[in-house]
Amino acid sequence: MGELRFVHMADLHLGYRQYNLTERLKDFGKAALHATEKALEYEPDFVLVAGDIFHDSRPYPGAIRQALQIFTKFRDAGIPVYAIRGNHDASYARSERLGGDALHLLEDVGLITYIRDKVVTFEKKGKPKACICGVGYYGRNTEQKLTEVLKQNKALLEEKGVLKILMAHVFIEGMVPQYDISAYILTQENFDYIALGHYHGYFRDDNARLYAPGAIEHTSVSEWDDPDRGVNLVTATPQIKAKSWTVDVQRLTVPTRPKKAFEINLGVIEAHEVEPQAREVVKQHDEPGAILRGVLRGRLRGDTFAFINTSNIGTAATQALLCNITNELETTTLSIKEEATFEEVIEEVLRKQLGIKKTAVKTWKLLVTDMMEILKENQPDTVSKALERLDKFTTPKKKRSKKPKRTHAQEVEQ
Amino acid sequence: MAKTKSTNPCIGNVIGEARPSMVYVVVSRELIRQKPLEIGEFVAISYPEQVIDSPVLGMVTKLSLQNIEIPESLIRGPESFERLGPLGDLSQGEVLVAQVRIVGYIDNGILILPRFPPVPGAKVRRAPLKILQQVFGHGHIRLGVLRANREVEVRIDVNEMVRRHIALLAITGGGKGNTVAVAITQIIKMGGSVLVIDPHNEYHTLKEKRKKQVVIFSETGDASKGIRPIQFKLDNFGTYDLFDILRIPTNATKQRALLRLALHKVQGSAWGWNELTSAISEVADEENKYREQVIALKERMIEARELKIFDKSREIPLSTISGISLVKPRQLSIISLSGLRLEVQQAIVKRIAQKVYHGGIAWRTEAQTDKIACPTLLVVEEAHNFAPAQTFAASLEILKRIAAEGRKFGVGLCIVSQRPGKVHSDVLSQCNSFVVLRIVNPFDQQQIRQSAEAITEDLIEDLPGLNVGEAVITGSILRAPALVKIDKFVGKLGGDDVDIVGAWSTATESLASGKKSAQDYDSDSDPF
Ligand SMILES: Nc1ncnc2c1ncn2[C@@H]1O[C@H](COP(=O)(O)OP(=O)(O)O)[C@@H](O)[C@H]1O
Ligand SMILES: [Mg+2]
Repeated sequence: MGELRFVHMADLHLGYRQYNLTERLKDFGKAALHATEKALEYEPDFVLVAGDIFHDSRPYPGAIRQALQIFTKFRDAGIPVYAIRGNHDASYARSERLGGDALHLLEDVGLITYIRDKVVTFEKKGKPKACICGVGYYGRNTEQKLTEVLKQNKALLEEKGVLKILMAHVFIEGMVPQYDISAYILTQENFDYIALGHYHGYFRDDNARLYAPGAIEHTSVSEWDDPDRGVNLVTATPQIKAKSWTVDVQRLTVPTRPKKAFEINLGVIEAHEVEPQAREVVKQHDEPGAILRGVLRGRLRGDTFAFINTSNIGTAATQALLCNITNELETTTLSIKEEATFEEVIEEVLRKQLGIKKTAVKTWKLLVTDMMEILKENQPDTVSKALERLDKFTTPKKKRSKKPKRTHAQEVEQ
Repeated sequence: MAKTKSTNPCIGNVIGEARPSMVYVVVSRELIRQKPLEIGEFVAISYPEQVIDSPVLGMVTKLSLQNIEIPESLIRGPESFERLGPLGDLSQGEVLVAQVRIVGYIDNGILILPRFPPVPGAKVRRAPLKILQQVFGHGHIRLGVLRANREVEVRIDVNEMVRRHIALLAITGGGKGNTVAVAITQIIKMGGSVLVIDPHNEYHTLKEKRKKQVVIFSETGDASKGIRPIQFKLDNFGTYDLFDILRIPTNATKQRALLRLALHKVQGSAWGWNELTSAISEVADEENKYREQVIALKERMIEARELKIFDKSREIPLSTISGISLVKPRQLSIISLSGLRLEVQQAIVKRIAQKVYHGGIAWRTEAQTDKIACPTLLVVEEAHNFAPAQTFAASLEILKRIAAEGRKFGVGLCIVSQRPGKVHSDVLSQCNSFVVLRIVNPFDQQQIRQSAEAITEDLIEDLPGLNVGEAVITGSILRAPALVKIDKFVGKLGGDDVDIVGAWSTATESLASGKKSAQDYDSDSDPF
């Protein structure tokens, strides 16, 4: 018997109108279509989609049309597509309540096999058999759901000579700090290939047989360090003697819109100089059709509350699709004065930043120093002193009431 | 009182200078040839009823037998005794004196030490069963019986054991493994969680009758036997751990520098040996040096990579609801480290101890993730290798931490060692209870004396004289220190002594018969 070849894709996020731009919605469709066409060249036996076909659980008709276009290509080529539910494209509860989700729809029109927490088999004449265990998105409860599914399908999974695939939409330890499941648990059942979705970067651990192809287009800046996007082409060959399979994983990349992140280093600068200088830098980075992201760095001199109009800086990129500027300039809150005492610093903060009257500054200053003491170490004496001071801030009303001058409210009370 | 008097005769009286904690008792002469007192035996001493109206327990710690009618200065040899013959029955001159340490009396279920001595001449009886049962039979699990009063069960307090740590010390073959097995099998039955660091693959047989409760982890794992692989994420180990795991000597400064730079490079995204190897080459290229070190490091990595323990993405989970994990109620997890190099063993113990300790903090603070499912007992066999006094071990710091603070976070330590003198004193001295079996090395005795305040001089002197399975137990797990005959564990234990001579003769026979090869013999469970 020969080998099995399949394509593993995930996180297509069809229908994502990123940055509110229709171009981006098209980008996601295009990238998925590209990947599909590339995959078809290799004539795979079947295709896996490990969740998040759609960006939204109520996709617009436009997104559905993209999906129909893509999966029709596989159907026309006679290639079955197996898909699971991601966190974006279908909520388990809502799908139950509302009589199905968008993946049901794709299944109904005969484009995909929607694996809902079960094991399905791929069988084709002259080809080895494969079993695909698919678990939809359950976050931290994935482990429990998986244990259930494995228990219910024990016999199927223990069949000899069958390629065993696990498909899940889940973060494993190491991908993100708050992961959903330990990779150790996923690999216990000796699957030959574990097809993951949810993680948008490219991940592979050949020893553990864990693979995530990543999102088909960049869904956030944090994914930009890996400019490549794509899907996995997997060739599995049975090793009869060793009763196992060797898998060869190749990444098929697709072209995506160029993206570039850069810093705009301005040094110590006056507020009014920011815009012209930053625009110069942006111009240098401008690129046709690209998505740009510039970060303003440096220190503002003088007026602290100067308003920096970042969109005026972004427009300097005339050829790019979009240029976002974030302001991370440090502000010099105080006029820099050598050897200012701690008290002077506090006084200045109180007066200039908080606009406290000169006459009240002294009490405030004492309060601040007490509070700092309290925060440093718990001193009951200081606490009570500070409370007394706080009380003084609330007393003026009482004092006022002693005065003969009455307010309207007091008159009413009487 | 009257009742006990009739059934329980007086066997001796307090003599000489009596102190609140220690008295001498001259024992009735008839007893010498019938049923003499034993070391470790408990007696009841009568105090004036107005002072303490229940009998006060004491433990025999020393015995001396003299004969005042045999003048030693006249004895030259056997012939001297013949000459003494005509003097009649010399046994009349025998005097048996027992040194008795006062243990205390029970008042409202609490053991109290009297603040004054008994009066000289006070009557001494064998301790009544009922009182002994009150003192020693109250704990959660049974370890054995009193050595000198075998009808009395010795049960220990598991709360105290896990809360305040315990040390189990004896020479090899003294019965440590047996004691551990007796204790932990009962603890998991109670619903407890136990993790055993098992460097010699001694405990795997516990699984035979406890398939569900016992989970074994070993280097390679063996799915067919339900043995799980030991795996930890490589990126959970620090730079120095890696120096250790890869055995990069301190003087190999360039190799260390290169590895450090490579580690710096891989950080930030998931990495394993592959990524680290590439990073090493990349750093060397970028810096345009370290050519030789790249080769050296890669060679050092070959062995470690073969181990499969240090993985890119897999790590045994601490506690899971449905999957395999280290800490679970009613589960005994055995970490079998046999066959692994000491540095690797230490790195594993470090990681496990870290996980459990941090999990304990998370449990205590009711964090959402990575917390232990319940309090747990970490049994560290060969503790002198993981918390050594003199040498370095990656696992030392975290074990010290647990010893000092584990009690706050539901993590108990059970330190097991045949070389207490080589266990770090910061760890040993935090153990509140001790089970000390046979110890012969004077240095080790010294160490026990220093760490276990509850073990008094007199008990230490006895340690070489203990038989296999006999132990001095002191500390908060028992109401009073006692000499205990530990139960023999029912069931197979991998650490049982191998019958060498027997094995030789079997092997010879099978060679002779030609039917069986000597290798077949090995299939038995012994780790030999
Ligand atoms: N309490 C006991 N009663 C009877 N035999 C025991 C007892 N404790 C240990 N033994 C026997 O002594 C031998 C060594 O015991 P083991 O627990 O392996 O010692 P250690 O762990 O201290 O090296 C074993 O054969 C064991 O069966
Ligand atoms: Mg042992």
